[in-house]
Amino acid sequence: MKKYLIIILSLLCWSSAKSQEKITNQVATVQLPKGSQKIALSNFESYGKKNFKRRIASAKGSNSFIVDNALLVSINELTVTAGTKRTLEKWKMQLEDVYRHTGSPWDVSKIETISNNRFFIFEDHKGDEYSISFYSEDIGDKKFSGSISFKEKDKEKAHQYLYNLLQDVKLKK
Amino acid sequence: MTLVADSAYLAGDRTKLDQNTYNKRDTKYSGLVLYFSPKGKYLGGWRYKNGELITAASTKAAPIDNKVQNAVVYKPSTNEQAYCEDWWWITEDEDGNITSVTYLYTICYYPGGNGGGSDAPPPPPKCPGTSSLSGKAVAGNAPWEPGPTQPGDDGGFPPPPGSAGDGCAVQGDNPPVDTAQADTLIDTCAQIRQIKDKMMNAVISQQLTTLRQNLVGSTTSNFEKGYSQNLASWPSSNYDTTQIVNGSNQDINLPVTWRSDVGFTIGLIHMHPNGSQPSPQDAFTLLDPLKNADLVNGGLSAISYYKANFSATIVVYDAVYVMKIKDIAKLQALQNEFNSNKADFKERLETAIRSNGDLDAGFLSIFKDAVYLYKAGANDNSFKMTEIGSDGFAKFISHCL
Repeated sequence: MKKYLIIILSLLCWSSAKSQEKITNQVATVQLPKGSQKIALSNFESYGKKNFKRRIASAKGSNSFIVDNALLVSINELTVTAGTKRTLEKWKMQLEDVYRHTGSPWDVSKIETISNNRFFIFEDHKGDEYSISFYSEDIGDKKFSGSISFKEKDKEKAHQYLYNLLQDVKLKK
Repeated sequence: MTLVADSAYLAGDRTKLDQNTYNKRDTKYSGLVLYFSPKGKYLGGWRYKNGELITAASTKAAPIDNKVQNAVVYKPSTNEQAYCEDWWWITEDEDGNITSVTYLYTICYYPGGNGGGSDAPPPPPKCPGTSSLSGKAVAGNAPWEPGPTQPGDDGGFPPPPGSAGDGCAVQGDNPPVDTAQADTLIDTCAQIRQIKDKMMNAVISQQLTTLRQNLVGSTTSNFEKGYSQNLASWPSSNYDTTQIVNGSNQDINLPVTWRSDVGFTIGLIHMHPNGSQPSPQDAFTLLDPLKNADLVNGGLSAISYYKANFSATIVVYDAVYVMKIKDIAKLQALQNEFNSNKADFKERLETAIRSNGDLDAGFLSIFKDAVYLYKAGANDNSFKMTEIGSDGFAKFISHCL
């Protein structure tokens, strides 16, 4: 009986972390975590300017969300050209080198496998403002990518959101 | 508005400048009136001699101590009879060292005119570029005269040329050649051929090979290495052998010289062990020669030669990047922006690269108007121009035969 109760509770928790929002682009179908509120790109930019001192950028054609009035999320599909094709390992090394040249520190730079998909996750902060970028491997001439901007107090929430999001990404490999 | 009075006009009395404002002008004023945007961008200017609005001054009328320097006079190959003057805004520190050089404008003198070496002002044409062969033609931002709105003796100064009310806003059938505009018409295929030829030079090729070898062996060291690319003489393609220079894991300082005993630096090459694209500082090295007094003192022919031939090369394990100057004023403006707020500029680059998921697109989103970026694979010499497409992502243009 106890076992069933645990399973039922786990399922409830899992389903409560999901929202109804689902986005599909050329490279992935994504079930968005609970609390994701879709906003227009113009609102993304104005929200970013109003709530963050650091630059918040989003690629053209991205899907933008606000989560619990704390996380600013952007989900994109990026174009890969012959000259920009690269492995995640190489992209990780190159982005770290960009930061080495600018003299900026970073907090996280790692390649992680989540639900059988490999992602490069990069996180840095300026003052109490944090930013996470994530990238899938190249899928043809595209790759799945996104970013999460947040304040230090929402760090745990942001990391949980990232994990939930990447867990439910179905890449069109 | 900035006034650069002739030293002869001032005669040591700097209070004379107080008699000149935007609304009021001394009837004897001699010198330049220059307009800059609030961010320091040069907008245009006028030249006065004894209170009269004249064409741009000759060399004699623009002494270096006024900080606007007529760099030199040269003869363009397209017209043996004509000669042109480039005007530069040169800032010096207390010790007389040049700290910055900004291109202002170019004036070309053609046959049939009154000549440019005399202090006597020639009859001015009606508007910029409308009488290029009968007198003088203006190339760049400098006006000839303000047209119908020429102010009276005590009427102050006219607004910047090209602005409403300068009387010369409407251009005729023969518009002036804008040097900055001409920059965008540079034959990029010729530049690519120039780069390929340079890479095949024995000295340069050896530098490239050595840097690649260091790159391969760089698993234990993240330190950058590089060379200055020095001509034995100029113009020529005879390169001196130079010593390898060791940098740190984030930058390198390569010497720039412009003397016959040590060589004429016409390029810099270094490697990035971890594969990142050219950094902002790498792009700004394209301006390094302008800080070299020997080069600037070499005159406009030296400056023109540097501008046409200088390159900054970055070697990474899977590519070779070569940068050349596209627009010197825009690159200067970016460097000023970088120097005034490094943290913001760096963050701008980081954000651009992360949001594009691409080094080249991120770099070009900032530098595309200031530099040409050419790229070849690690082991070939097939350089292509890199640009940003309308979708915001980098694309490689192979438009040359």
